Amino acid sequence: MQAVRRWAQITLALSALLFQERAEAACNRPDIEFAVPPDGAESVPPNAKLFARYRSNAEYTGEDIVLTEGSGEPVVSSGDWSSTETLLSVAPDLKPGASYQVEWPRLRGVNSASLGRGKTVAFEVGATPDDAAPVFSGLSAVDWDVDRERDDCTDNLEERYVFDFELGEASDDGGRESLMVLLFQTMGPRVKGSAPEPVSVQRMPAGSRLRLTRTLADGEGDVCFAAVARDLTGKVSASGAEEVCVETVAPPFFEGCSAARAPARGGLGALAALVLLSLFLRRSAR
Amino acid sequence: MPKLVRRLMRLGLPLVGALVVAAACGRSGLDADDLAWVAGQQLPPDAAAPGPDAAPGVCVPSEETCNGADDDCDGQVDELSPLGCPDGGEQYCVGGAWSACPERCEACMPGSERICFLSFCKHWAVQTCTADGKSFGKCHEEDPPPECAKVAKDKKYSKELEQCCLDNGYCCRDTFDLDDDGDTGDMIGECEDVLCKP
Repeated sequence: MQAVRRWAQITLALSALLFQERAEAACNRPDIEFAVPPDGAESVPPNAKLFARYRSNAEYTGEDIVLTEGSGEPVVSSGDWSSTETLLSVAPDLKPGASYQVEWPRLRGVNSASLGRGKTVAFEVGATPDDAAPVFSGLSAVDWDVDRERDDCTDNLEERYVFDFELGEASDDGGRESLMVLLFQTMGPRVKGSAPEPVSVQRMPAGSRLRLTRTLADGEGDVCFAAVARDLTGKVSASGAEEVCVETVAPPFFEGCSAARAPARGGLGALAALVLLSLFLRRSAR
Repeated sequence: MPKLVRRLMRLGLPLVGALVVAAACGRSGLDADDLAWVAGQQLPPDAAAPGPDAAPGVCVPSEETCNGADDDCDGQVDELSPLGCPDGGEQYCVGGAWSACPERCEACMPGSERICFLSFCKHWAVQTCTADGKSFGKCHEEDPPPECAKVAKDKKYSKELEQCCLDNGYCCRDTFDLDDDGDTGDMIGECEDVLCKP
């Protein structure tokens, strides 16, 4: 009986530890979010920089980035860290036609006891350097909704606007899959002055849809967005002039009258009423 | 012509005409701006503006600037290299204006905490930053720390309690605007691990 009780205690303790670990991981473990070039990329230009984006609480303190060419010796280097973008980069001398593997380090984070996740990425280098800026026609449409999800840090339901963007055509001489998309909010309740606010950095998705979440305070009312694509050499597309806009409303939503017919466009009813009224007044005046 | 027919024509023709015009405008999506453009008063609203010195239909090349126009007449609008920011990251020309410099997070570091104040019960509470760093969660009531317990009991929901929070090295929501900046939603005190600034 005592043995059963002991096993039960051990199982409970292990479960609690595992649960705590998982909860912290989802809350604020400083994991890598994506790397470009991505795993399996081909024709990476020889003049490319390699980038890894981490979660916003990650901190880089000179951890090693390990680059291995084919079956050769690993070369250890430290990278450049942009703390505002939590973007780690390294600019190695890549040989045309060679295969490489890069090990992005696990980083520590602010307010986090555990190390985040790193990533190992393999890619092949092409023959020609990346000379041209990416061609990207920007955002072409936007749809929105409100999402309520239990937050892993607050353990409460947090409401967010979810914007789904339709992306235009994108290409680059360094490969479409290695592009990053930078999203900006150009109009909104908290966009300061006329300066568009950078709101997201993501890898160019394989499909044509991109998702962004905003708080209710940031996304309510008339909101506009634009995007640019950035390649592995830092060149950007000229797509920032293309904006998409939408008007959102704050929850709670009342959809009880949605079965009724929408009013005609152009104030047709109002105009007809005005004409009838004027005719009636004219007739009464006689 | 019979009187009834004349009356119908007098009543009906203006009405039919008005309805046709209104329906045509509604269907084509024309508005006042578009009608002004048709009358030659300004550019079509959705078109990119040509260079500043352009005569109608002619683009005169000038240096490309961030203004939503094709200044250098190459068919591209605002194709400008990004500008470096003092704290890292870059500014981009977007929608005819230079973007703000990037910040590490939008509101707070994911999982970080700050002290907030309640007008009831213990008056002392903790707010946790959400996993996406975009906002704080609700204020969850907690026992005030020993150094502020007496202030919480005597002064309750007050400036003095926020001052006690500040004096004892916490990151505190500035509910009583102690920094006198007119913002009661910001935070003051030891907030290095909470704020988004690098």
